[in-house]
Amino acid sequence: MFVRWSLRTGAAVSIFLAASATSALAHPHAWLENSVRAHFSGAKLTQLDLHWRFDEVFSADVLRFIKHDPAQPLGASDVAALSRNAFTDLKEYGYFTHLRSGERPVSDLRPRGFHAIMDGRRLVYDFSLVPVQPVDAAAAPLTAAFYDPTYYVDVALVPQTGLAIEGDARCKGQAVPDVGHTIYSGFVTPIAARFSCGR
Amino acid sequence: MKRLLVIAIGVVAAVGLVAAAAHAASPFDHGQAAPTAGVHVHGPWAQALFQAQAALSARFNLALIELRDARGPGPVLAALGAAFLYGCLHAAGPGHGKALVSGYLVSRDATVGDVLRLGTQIAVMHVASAVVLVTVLALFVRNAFTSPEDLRGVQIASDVVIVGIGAVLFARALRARTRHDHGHGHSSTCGCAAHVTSPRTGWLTAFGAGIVPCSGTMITLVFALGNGILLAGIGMLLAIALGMSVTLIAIGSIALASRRAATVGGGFTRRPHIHRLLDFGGPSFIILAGGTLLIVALAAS
Repeated sequence: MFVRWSLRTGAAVSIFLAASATSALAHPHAWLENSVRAHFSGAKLTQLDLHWRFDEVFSADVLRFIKHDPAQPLGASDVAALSRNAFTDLKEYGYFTHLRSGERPVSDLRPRGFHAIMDGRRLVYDFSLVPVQPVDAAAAPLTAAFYDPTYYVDVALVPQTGLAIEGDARCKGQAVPDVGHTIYSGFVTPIAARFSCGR
Repeated sequence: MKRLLVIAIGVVAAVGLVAAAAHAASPFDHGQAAPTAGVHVHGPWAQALFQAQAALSARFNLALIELRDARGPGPVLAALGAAFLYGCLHAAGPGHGKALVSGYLVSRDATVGDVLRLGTQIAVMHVASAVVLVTVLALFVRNAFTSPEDLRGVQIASDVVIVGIGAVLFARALRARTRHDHGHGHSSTCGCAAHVTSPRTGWLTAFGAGIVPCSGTMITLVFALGNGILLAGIGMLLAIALGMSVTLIAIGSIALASRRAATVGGGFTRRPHIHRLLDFGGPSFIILAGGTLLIVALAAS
């Protein structure tokens, strides 16, 4: 009985200690709304146009970094400063756009045409990502998942209107939870665009 | 003690429920609450806590905007409430002292006062470190959205301190055991360093657990500074610290109750192996938790 009691007590204490270390994290701290336009040539993805709208608090902080009043429109020098100081840092995070053909990551995406404007007090980025080689959506399922790997920024795809296709009429895109590719210790299932081009 | 335990569990449950009520919050116009899909790979409790935290972060963000745009007591109270809840749930995340508090308190004969002091010390240290960092950032005109990568050095230092605390506590337990094995009396009132809390160890524990700055605090401070609402921002800071204290004290109370439940009933001398388990188990757990965080931080750097 004594041994059983000891085992029970030990187990209870162990469970409490283990439970006290569970990781439920206090992220995210910034939010962005993402709208995506995918360009196809035949069945090949040639470009992704991204339209990002950040939340106000994050916008205020980024603009403070370049010493810009959030109530004022952005000038050319402000856009250049944002590109130089904030946008280029996103390369490390894959511009929150993670493309894969089947299960093979397509990481060589080049940013083009960065521009920024103010929408009220919200900062808006417009830019394109261009794969070095066009990616065939007919050869293997093509998926673009949108997320910040650290989940510091929550990347949302605008409902209904957030995904558009340009080019070949056979190519379709669908916003889906990227099941099987969770991030942030498995707590978050990112939203992905799944492309298919019928033959 | 039983009453304290019931209150502690009640606090944790209430915080979860209230936070869940904030689930509709979104920093955008169309009220989209959870842009990321809710596929559960964790248990329902962990997932629910995570989702509540994410929703509360969004609510916290909105509260800052409302505070800037509106006047009167309503937005201030709403912001203070959001900050308090944010602090409660923020402390439930990793690296905020849960493991250290529970491991520390389960391994010694602490009092309710010790629990209150330790919870408060960690929360104060956590918020204070953010204030110091924001001041430094303000001097160098950096933005407050310091990424986890930017803070990795501080995180590594914190993890090293936590492992160090675990090692010191383990060594003390070992010394005490040697002493007891050589014929010294061993009772719950023996006063050995291995069994009692001390202010110095308490502050060191608070330092280890609280040195990594709180992102929410940093964001609040910078936003308040930039928008002329510094006083309200400081109020939110204090509310965050209060919320963190509540969670840490609740967790500490459960640790205290666990130890007492395990040791009371048969008398200390009749259950030496239970005390041994707790004396060594607590520090071992701290070393394990701190070591795991340290390895993760080093691997990512």
